Amino acid sequence: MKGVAISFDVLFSCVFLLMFLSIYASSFYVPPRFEGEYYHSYKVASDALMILKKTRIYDVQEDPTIQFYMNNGDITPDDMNRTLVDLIGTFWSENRTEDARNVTRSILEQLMPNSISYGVYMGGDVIHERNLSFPSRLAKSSLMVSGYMVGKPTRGFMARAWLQRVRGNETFLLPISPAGSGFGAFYFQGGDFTLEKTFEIPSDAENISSQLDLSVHEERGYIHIYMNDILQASIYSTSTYYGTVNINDVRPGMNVLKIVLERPLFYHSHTHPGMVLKVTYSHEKNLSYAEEREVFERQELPHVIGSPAVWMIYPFDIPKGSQVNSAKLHFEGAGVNRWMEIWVNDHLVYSSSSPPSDPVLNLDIKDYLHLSGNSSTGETNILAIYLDMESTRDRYVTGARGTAEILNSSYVELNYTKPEPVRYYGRITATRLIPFDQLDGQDAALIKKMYFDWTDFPILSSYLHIVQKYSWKVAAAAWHDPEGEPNWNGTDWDKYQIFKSPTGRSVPSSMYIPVERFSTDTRNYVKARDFDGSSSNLVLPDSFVSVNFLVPAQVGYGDVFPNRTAAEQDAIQRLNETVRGYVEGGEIETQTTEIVNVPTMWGLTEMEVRVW
Amino acid sequence: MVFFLSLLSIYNLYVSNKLEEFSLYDEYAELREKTIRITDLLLRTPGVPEGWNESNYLQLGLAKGEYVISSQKLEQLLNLSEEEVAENLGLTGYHLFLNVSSALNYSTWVEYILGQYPSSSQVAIPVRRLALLDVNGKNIPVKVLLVVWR
Repeated sequence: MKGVAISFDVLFSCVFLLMFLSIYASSFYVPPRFEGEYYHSYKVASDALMILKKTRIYDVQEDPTIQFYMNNGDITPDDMNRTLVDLIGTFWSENRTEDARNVTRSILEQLMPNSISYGVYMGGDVIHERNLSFPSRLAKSSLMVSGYMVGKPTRGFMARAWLQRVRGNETFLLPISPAGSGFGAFYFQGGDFTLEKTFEIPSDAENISSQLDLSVHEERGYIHIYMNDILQASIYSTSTYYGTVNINDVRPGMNVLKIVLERPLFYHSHTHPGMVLKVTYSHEKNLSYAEEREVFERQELPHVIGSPAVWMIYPFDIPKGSQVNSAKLHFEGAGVNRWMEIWVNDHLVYSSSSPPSDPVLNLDIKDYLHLSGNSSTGETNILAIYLDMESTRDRYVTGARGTAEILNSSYVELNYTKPEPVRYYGRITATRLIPFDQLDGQDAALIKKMYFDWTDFPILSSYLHIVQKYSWKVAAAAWHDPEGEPNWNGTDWDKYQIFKSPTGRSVPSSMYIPVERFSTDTRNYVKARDFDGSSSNLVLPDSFVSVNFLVPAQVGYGDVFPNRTAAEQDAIQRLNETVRGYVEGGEIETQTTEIVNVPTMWGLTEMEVRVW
Repeated sequence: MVFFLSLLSIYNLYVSNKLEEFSLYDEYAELREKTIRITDLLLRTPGVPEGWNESNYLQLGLAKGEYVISSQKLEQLLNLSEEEVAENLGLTGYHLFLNVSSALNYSTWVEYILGQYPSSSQVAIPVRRLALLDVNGKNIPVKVLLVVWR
């Protein structure tokens, strides 16, 4: 009996348990009311949006708010067929959000059910909200909209204009980086130093003018400047010399600049950082350009003759992010007696204490470039060549005699693939030189900083040109607001460094600045300092930044005008204002179109109604 | 034992009430979605044939353009009986109440009514929509209320 009594207890317990569980489970049942309510809210949102889209001003002209805007002239009789979206969108696009809110509220407050909260948004801006409750469920409906400007004519003529052929000003820069005779070449041990560089000016160039920023060290002797074998100036120098020389004989086609530093009475002869030939001319500009992604580039070295030794540095750059496929140096020299060194950055790539008298070398220099993996870091590379002198000693080697030459049949050959090749259409290139004396005044200093604001056109490339009378090593940084200013940690700028001299006297006359270092919205800065050398190695305020950029040679459709002539004149005027200062003259073409009810004057933007 | 049997019958009552409630919920949800779809059908489609009248309609629809109700079609609809409209819209067995009225207090007052508003009912689904009503070339914003009930 005892066993049966226990069985009933168990049975009852089980039944109670099942009953409890089923009641408990039923409490979790959620009726499908919520989904239906969300669907209904969504329909209310989309209805409101469609009403705004379909209702014309004419349909609601009795509305007091609409009448207010009719009375003050914002809405004209021509606007009657425009929709409420058009009206609200026009106010919004003119930053008249309060007016957009007035219209929206006046219409929707009567239409929307009293119990719901809702909001109308345009391009992410709140136009109007009725906020009755915190949104526990939110239904949204949106629409891409555009429209006419209310109060402007919808029929008329619009014109665009572009330059078909254009003559414009061009600035060509030929930086000459430091080179010289072997250090210690006194009167009795040395001879003249000569540097020749060939460059090309377009064959249709006119109004050519040029100036050489001369930066040399000639201790008691004459400096002779030749252009195409015509003497331009002879200047007697007692020590370092920095000044400008007008150059008159640059001509279309090939030109040769020759600088002769006469055998000095004391010390030695060499050029300093900051020697740049600046040539300006006008010519017919390209209006479109499509660069190949893969670039083959051969850069010819200057012809340099020193006595009793010769040295030079030569900078070359590869745009940041480019995949470097190959980099080669072809070198040809003459008159070498005892010594030869070739460096790429801080790598000694060739040295010999018994080089051939007329050496010819082919060197693979890719591994010595500034690379991250296979990709260019954008930092300027320095090729340094020393004939009959040691790089580490400040004089020519014993046994050096006569002249030593770096021939201009030498070249650096680069093959790389750009991440973003330059391509443009309907634009012209221009160059601006921005001087360095904006932050630090006119004083030369060991550390110099400059700034510039760039608010106009896309930058293609830019270079830093440091001018120094005495120099050793330079490090430079470039940044823009709101990036913070870099600090010098004793060996480097701690961020945004764009160049650092690998060895002494490796300060080129141009240093590549990657495009992304500059901003078109905020202030840009460049800072450079000489380091590890004498405190008299000052950066001069004559230093500058060159910026190559694109100027639009076309303007789009403008306002609507009642006749074709007025529309064309407006387009031509807008084009002239855009290219003023960059263009001498050209043929302008225009295209005029008659518009009839094509809603393109504002938008395209998203209009959204939310209901909760 | 008596206590156990009493508890069991209370439980039975609770369960049957719950089942009825769940079934109503389902019907409510299904009918609500259907009613919303029917308002879409009326406000966004012209009906079949497009120029239907009370004697040849196959599918009812009131739109002259999307969200723009044709006054003529609305008047044709009001000439039909509530049962005819319910049957065509797939709501056989249910009552309908349709009210189309001006939404803005300053515009011309219009009001169209079909059927009876439910005074008391077990199931009543109200759906409120917005549309424009074409009145002599002017599109007047109107509120549309459709109540399906039984």
